[in-house]
Amino acid sequence: MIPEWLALTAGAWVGVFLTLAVFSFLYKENPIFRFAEYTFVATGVGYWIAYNLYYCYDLAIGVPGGEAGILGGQWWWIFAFLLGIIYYFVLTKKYFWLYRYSLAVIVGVGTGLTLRTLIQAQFLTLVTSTFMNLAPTDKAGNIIIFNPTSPAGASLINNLLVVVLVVTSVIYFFFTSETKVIKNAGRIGRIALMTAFGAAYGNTIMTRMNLFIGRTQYLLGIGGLAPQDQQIAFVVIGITMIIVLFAYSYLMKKPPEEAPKPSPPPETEAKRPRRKGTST
Amino acid sequence: MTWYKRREGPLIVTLIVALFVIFEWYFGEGAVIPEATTVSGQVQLFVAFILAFVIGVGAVSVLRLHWHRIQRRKPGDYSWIYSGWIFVVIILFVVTGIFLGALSGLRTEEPSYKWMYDYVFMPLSGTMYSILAFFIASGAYRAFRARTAEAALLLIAGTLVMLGNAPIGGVIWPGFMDINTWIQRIPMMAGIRGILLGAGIGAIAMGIRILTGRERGYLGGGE
Amino acid sequence: MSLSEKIERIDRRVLYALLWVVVLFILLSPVNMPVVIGDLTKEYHRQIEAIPSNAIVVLAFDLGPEGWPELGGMCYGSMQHLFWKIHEKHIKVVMLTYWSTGAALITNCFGGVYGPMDKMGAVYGVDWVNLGYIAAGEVGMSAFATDVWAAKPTDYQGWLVSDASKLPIMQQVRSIKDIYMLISIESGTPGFEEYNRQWWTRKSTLKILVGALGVSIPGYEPYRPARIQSYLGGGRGAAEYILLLGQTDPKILTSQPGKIAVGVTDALSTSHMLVIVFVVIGNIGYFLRLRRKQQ
Repeated sequence: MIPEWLALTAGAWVGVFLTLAVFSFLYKENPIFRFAEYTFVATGVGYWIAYNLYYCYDLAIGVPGGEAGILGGQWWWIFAFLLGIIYYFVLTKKYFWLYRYSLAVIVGVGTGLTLRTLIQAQFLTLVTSTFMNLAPTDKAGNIIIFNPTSPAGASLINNLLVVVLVVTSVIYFFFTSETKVIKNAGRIGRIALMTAFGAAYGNTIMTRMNLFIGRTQYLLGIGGLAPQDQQIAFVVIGITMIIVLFAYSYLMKKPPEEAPKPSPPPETEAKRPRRKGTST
Repeated sequence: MTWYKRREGPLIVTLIVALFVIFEWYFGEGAVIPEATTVSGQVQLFVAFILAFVIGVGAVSVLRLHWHRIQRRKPGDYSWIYSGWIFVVIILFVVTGIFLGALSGLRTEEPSYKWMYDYVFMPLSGTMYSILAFFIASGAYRAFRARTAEAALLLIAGTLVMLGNAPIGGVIWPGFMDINTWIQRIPMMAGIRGILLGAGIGAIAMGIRILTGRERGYLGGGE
Repeated sequence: MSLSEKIERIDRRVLYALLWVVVLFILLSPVNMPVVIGDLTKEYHRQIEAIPSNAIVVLAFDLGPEGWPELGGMCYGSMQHLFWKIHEKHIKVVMLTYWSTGAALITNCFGGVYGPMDKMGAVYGVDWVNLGYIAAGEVGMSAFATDVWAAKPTDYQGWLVSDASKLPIMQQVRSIKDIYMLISIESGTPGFEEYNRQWWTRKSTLKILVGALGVSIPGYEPYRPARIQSYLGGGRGAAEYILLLGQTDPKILTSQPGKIAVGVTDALSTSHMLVIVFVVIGNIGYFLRLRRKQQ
C-alpha cells in the first residue's frame, strides 16, 4: 500500500514534468515534447477502455440479482454482442463488408433519433424565439423604444434588430440571386455575421487564456493537490528543462557549410600534352 | 460480387432502422402502438452497447500502427521507443482499470487508475489545449488585420467583447460590460441563430441523403 | 530594416515570453480587481434557489480535463449549491455524465479531492446518487429518457439501481418525466444540443441550466431563454458564481476550485489587455507598411 503523501508528491512531480514537457514545444519541437505527446495519445486511447467495458458489462451481461442483461434473463443481448463483434471486422480486408451491417444499424438509429426531433427542438425553437414582441411595454403600458439602463433588454429597437439580422443572415446563406433586394439583404446579414464572429473570437480568447492561466496556477501551486511539491517541482524541472532545451538546440544546430573551393583554371593549349602524329 | 457484400444491403438496413425509429416517435408514445416504443428502446440500448463495445477498434488500430513502426525500425533511428512507450501506457491503463479494478471491486475508483487520471491524463490534456492560447495571441499579432471594413467590424466587436469579459474593462469604464452584453445578446445572437438555422436545414438534408442512400461515404471504400 | 518590418517580423517566441511574464507576474502578485456579478449568473443562482421541494435534479459533468480550468469552479459550485438545497428543501440529485473523462471529476468533487464538499448530512442513495458514465452520447440520452433503469442498470460503484435497499432514490427516477431540472456543465458534444433533442422534446417543462466554456457561449445564447433558462459563461461566469455563493458561505472561496476560479480574473484582465495591445501594434505595423508601399 503506497502512503498517500508519496502518491501526492510523486503525482505533483509527474504532473509538473508533463505540463512543462508540453510547454517546451513553444520553444522548439524536441524529444521531451514528443514523449509527452505520445503519452497523451496513449492515455487518450487507454483511459476510455475501462469505463466503456464496465458499461457494456452492466448493460449486456448484467449484475447478479438485477433484471438487466443476460444474467437477468434478457437473452437477446447475444445479438448485440454479435453486432459488436462483427464491427471489429473493420480491421480486416476480407470481411470488411460484414462491419458495414453493424455500422448501418448505428447510423440508422443515430439518423432516426436526430431527424425525428430536430425540427421541433432546434428549428422551430429558433424561429419562434426570433419573432418577438415588437412593441414591448413597461409596467405603465408605454412602449419601450430603447432602455439605456438595460441596453440588452427587450425594446423595440433590439427586438426589431434581432428579426432583421436573423432574416438577413439566413438570406445571405441561402440565396445567391443578383437582385438588388437580396444582395443588400445579404450585405446586412454579413454585418451580423462579422459581429458574431468577432464576438465569438473575443469569447475564444477568454477560453484559451483561461486554460493557460489554469495550467500556470497549477505550476505555481494555486489550487493543486500538493501545492508545495508543485512549486518546488516547477522551479527544479523548469530550470533543468531550460538548460536541456538550450543544450539540445545547440547540439542540433547544423555546422556552417564549408565555403566552396575555387574551381581550378581551365587547361591552356601549351600545357596539354601533344600526342605523336597530331597536327597541334 | 455477391449481393450481401455490396453496399446496397447495409443501405437498406440503415433505411429500415431509421424509419422504424422515426415511426416509433410518432406512433409509439401515447399508446397507439406501445410495443414500438419497447422495441425501439431495446434497439437504442443495443446501439449504446455497440458504441461502447467498439472502443477497442481505436485502441487496436493505434497499437497495430505502432507495432508496425517497432517492427520496421532501422539502426540509428530511435523513434520506435516512443511507439513502445505507447504500448506500455495503454497496457497500464487496461491492467489498473479493468483487472485491478475488477479484483478490488472498486472498478474505475481503483486508486492507481485514478492516480494516472489525476497526474498523467489531466495535466497532459489540460496543457495540450492551453498552448492554443499562445498561438491565438501570436495570431492576433500577425494575422488579425483590419484589411476591409468587415474585418475592422470583426476586430472592433472582438475587442469590445474582450474588454467586457475581463474585469479590467469594467474598471476602465463600466459601459464596456453593457456594450459586451448588448453585442452578445443582439447581433452575435442573431448571426449565430442564422447559422444554426442553416445548419439545422443542412442536417435534415444530410439525414434524408443518408436515408435515400445518396450519402454512402460512411460505409467506407470498395463496392 | 524599417520600423514596420521590425514590427511584423518579431520572433513569435518573444510574444510567447511576454504572455508568460504577464500571467506569471499577476498570479504571483494579484491586485484583486473587482468583479461585477452579471445578470446571467444571478439568474443561474436564482433558478437553483427556486427548485421546489422534493424535485429531482440531474447534475451532468459533460466535460474533460481540458475544460476543468474554466468549468471547475462551476462544477464544484453547482454541486455544493445543490447539497445546500438537499438540506433546505429535500430535493433529490442524480449525478451522471456522458463523457468518460467527466466521471472521475464527479467522484473527485464529492469525494473532497478538490476541497471539502459539505454534504450537509445528505445520505448517498437516499438524497443523491452518482450514476457515473453512460456511453453512446445522444443514443444513450434517448435511452435514458425513455427508461432510466434500462439505460443505466448500476451506479458508479456497480450497485443495482433497482435495489431499493441501497438506492431508494432511484425508485422515483424511471424516465425523463420524473426530472425537474437538468444542470449540464459541458465542454462540447454530447451536450446541450443533444439534451435538447432527446430530453426536452419528451418533457417540454424541463428546466435547463448550462455551464459553458467561453468559446461555446455563441452556441447557447440563441436558445436563451426559450430552452436554456440561464448559463454561466466561461471563466468569468465561474468566478462570478463562486463569489455569489461565497456570500452565503465564505468557505467556498477557500476551496481549490474556488481559489482557481476567482484567482483567474486578474490574469484574464492582463492577458486580454496584452492581446489587445498585440492587435493594435500588429495593425499599426500593417498600416505603416501599406503607407510605405503607396509612397
